[in-house]
Amino acid sequence: MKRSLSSLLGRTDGWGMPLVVLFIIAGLIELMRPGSFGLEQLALICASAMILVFVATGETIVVMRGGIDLSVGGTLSLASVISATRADLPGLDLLPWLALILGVGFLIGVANALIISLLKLQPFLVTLATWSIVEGIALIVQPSEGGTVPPVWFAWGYSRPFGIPISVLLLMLLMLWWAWFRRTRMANSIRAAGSNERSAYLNRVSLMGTNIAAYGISGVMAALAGFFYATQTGAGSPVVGAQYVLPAIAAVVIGGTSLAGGRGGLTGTITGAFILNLTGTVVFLLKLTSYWQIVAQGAILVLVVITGSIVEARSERSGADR
Amino acid sequence: MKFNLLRKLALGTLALAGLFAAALPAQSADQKKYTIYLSNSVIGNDWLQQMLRSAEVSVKKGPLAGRVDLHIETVENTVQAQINSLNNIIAAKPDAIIVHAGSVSALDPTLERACAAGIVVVSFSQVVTAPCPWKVNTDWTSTNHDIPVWLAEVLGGKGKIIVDRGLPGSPISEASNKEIEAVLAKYPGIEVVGWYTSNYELGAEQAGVAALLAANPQIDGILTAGYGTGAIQALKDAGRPMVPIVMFAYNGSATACAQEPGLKCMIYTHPPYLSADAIKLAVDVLDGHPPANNLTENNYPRLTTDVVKGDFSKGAEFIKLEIGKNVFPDLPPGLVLPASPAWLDITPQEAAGTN
Repeated sequence: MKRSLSSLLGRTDGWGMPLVVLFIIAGLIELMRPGSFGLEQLALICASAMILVFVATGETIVVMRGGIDLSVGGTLSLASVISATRADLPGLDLLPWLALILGVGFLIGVANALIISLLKLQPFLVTLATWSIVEGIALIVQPSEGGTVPPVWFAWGYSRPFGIPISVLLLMLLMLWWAWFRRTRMANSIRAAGSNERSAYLNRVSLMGTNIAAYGISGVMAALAGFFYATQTGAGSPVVGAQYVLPAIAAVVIGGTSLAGGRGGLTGTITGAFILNLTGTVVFLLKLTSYWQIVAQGAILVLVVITGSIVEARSERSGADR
Repeated sequence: MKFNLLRKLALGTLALAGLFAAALPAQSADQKKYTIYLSNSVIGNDWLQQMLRSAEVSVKKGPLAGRVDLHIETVENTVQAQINSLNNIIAAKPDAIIVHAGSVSALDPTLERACAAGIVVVSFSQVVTAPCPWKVNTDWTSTNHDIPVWLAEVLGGKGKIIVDRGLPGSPISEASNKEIEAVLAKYPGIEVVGWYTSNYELGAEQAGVAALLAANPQIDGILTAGYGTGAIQALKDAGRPMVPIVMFAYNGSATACAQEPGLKCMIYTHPPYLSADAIKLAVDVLDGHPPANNLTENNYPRLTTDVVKGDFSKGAEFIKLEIGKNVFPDLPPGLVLPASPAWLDITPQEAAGTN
């Protein structure tokens, strides 16, 4: 039984273990405060988790490609301040404006990919530099928190199409996108290039093409996060992005995506983001001082990584036995 | 006879009790005990720790003693964590929430929801833009106006100065920078020869001032947004004479100012006991005595070595620095002055956490 469970968890792209942790956390919360996951509460939980989920989505793809993207912090900030600059525009004129915001995110990602691929530089250093540049631009666009988001966008951020809160709907759309994307040729190429660049290259996988796709998606997702932040708060912030960079990487790792590249997926990352999000609630309901939240998040990170590697080793061994 | 004696005794006791009741502050129906949450965005600097201590002291003594069941929830400086935390607080249905917000706008929808749930919300220090919460803050408009006026006047309207930009992205810094530029435009003899960014940190302040001292042979005054002691040290390291400095009301800065020979300075404050003021305001609202205005702004007195005349804000007050009276060399340098509002008696030791 023990063995079959570990092999079952081992087969899940790494998200089996974090999902178990998430269920335990959610169970604890429901036990201590019944009704914590009604539609209203779920909408609140999703709305507050979605910004992190978007950033972590892009980060997942980049990490699968064997890279890392710190510039998402700057892109998020820049997208949020651009979103808060045109409160005067009427409804339909906003669509090109949204396209522009996402386009800026994409271009930042492409710039990262080109610098990394052409100059053969470390992704960590390149994206650290672009983060700084982009955040500087965000401060130039809007030197402090504020601005006003177009009323249509603000209303959209709290809308309920088909009775479903927008944040829940976005989460569902994102999962549908992943269900499609993970099976595409591009996703396979990204995994292959992340796992072993040399053999991927020999198999005619474009290293630069996969980089452009991965960092491009990451840029768009970070811009989407910034846009969503603006619709939720009604304003932009030129410095808010920094708050999401490390948690996004933590969500990716908790979700079972390997920082070495090649393996992982969005299911785990979303699970990881919700684990990080709900830890605070457990700490609150246990009436512990809130500093325990930071301790708990670190402990979960370590726990998930250790158990994940044990489960993985066991399932590999049981696979070899067969 | 016996009965009479008993009756007299009983009557006397009653009368005595009545007398006591009259002498005591009104313990009437409005002396309810309230559950209040303090939602705090971050901890890490002296100001924030003193803010939390002031809140704790305010419900243990003075007019609020025994009237508030205070819970403090601090998050690790992310908007998302504070929104999550507030959602949990709202679900716990307290009487009031007082908020030290990590963002002036990001918490608005959440706080509006708290108001809609019938919870009294008070935002203090970095006040939010949502219309519903009550707000308590330093009168920054007056403070930002008076800072450059003092320096310009003490320099006799003539000289080269350097200015701290504070923390990039922070609305308080941004407003301050704008006002400083606007006021200095009225003093053509004052020239800003350099800006630096301190992030309200001591090390960055010292490095910023040192770099500008190296680049400018003549600097006659320094407008810091922080400790000021970093600027003093940079002047000493560069072997330059002391010049007038504006600084924030840390006890260490005020002490350095009072003890450094020849140093002229002005010290403005943004007191951590705003948390206590916010709790009092929440209790007043819950008791049915709300203030007339949604926003309460206080133009706090400033400490200085040199009281000068000038075009200061209405109600601006300057008090001479006095060791032992308003400056305390024996207490930690991170203590922010003054320690207590007038309605309460937070001792400097309680505020510093050394009692």
